[in-house]
This record gives sequence, structure tokens and C-alpha cells, in this order.
Amino acid sequence: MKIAVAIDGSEHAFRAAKYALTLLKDAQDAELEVISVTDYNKVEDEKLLLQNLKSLSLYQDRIVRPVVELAEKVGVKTSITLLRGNPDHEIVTHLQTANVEQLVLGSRGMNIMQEVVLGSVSRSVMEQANCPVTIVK
Amino acid sequence: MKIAVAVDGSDNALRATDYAIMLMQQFSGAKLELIHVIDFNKEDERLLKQSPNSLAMYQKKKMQSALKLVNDSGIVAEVTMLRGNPHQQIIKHVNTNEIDHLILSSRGLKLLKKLVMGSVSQKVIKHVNSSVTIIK
Repeated sequence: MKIAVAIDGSEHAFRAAKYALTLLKDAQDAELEVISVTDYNKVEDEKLLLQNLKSLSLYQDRIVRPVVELAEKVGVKTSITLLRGNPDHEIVTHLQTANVEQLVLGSRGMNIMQEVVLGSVSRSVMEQANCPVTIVK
Repeated sequence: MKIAVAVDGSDNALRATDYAIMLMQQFSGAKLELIHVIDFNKEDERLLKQSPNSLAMYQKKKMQSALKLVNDSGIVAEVTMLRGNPHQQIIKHVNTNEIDHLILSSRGLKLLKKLVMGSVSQKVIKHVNSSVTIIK
């Protein structure tokens, strides 16, 4: 069983990872795929990181590490996928080729205004993904 | 841990039930609940309103296959039948009964249909306090 979790370094994403790990705990051939997408258009510091490849991978590493450590504690194998670009688009495209049984996302709990302005990643991923999607609140 | 599945008698709802059973096996001591909402705004379901007896039978029929699946795996599930607007009823029920995890199946509506009819699952995800899984 292979479950993918998309994380962004937030508390919500961490809870999503925890949920994925409870599912994987007793499964055979359990594997957790940790996906992190860096969005160049969004955050100022992410844009700055583009200039230096080394600091970019350090930045992504910092986001991914807590989840990987958690998985190691439970004894679940992990693989890390670092993507760059538009989060929902990158995640959906990645799912098409990756052999993933289900995807787990954290919900940032945005209100309507934020959602209209920023666009909800979980919403568009949920609509377009080709596997079951769990939104952890 | 309380797990709820919304069923409507479709094949997708059966897959959602399968997922719920898998979750039940992971979380010991969890409770399972099957929810069916009858929508009076739909033509054939409105007709049924005239006779409470046939309504109950109709809802039972819609739940039967899912219920059988659950019973076959040795799980005792609670059955809840709601009447009214599907997403409103589901949201209300999930939030008042402190359900931890809701499982929905997506009907895979085409874009146009979705705009006209509104996607039940979108609204539900937005407003429930529990985690939600959408089965495709």
C-alpha cells in the first residue's frame, strides 16, 4: 500500500501525515510518499530561493524532514518527491504517473474570501485527482 | 472515533463503504454509521413522500447493499436516514453528532452539470468539522 501526503510545513499538513501513517502502520509493503511543492508565484521567500539552488533544497528539506522522522519512528518506508510550480497542477500531474493508492491533504481552513483570492489547492486537487482523496481537518 | 459513510445506492457508494470497512479495521473501537439522505426535490423521491411506508422501504433498499457489505465483514453499523437537502442534512448531522471522519463518494459529474446542480461533496467538505475522504 502506498499513500501520498502533500505537505507544506503547516500543522495541518502534519496532522494529515499522521493520519496517513495510522493507515500504513499495519499494512503490507507500506510506503509513504511525501510530496512538497514549492510555489514560485506565491511566497516572497520562495521566490528569492529560486536564485540559489542549494538554499532551495535546504528549504524543502526543512519542510519534509519532520514528516520523514515521524514515519521512521513508526517504521514506515518513505519516499520524497519535491516538485516546483503550481501546487494543485503539480500534484495532479504527479498522481497520474505515480502508483499511489490514495492521497491525504491537510485543510488550511480558509474562509470564502481567501479561497476566492488564493484558490483552494485541496479543492482543485480533489476534483481532478484519479484516486481517493482525504482532507484532514 | 466515529466514522460515517454517506450512501446513495450507487456503486461508488459501495466503494466508499469498502474504504470505511478498511478504516474500521485500522482503528480499534471505532463506530461506523451509514447515512442516507432522501431529497424531496427530486421527482421520484417526492412521490414517495405521500406514503411513509413506501418511503421507509425505499430508503432501506438504497442502503441494503452497503449494509450487507458491512455485516459480511463482521461490523455492526448504525443506520441513519435523513430527509431534506443532502448537503445540508449531512453537514448538520456530522457536526452535531461529533463524527470524526466522513466518507463520501464522488458522482463524477461533468463540469456543466456540476455548475447547474452544485456538487454535494464540495459543500460538505467546506462546512463539516470532520476529516473527509472522497472516493472516486
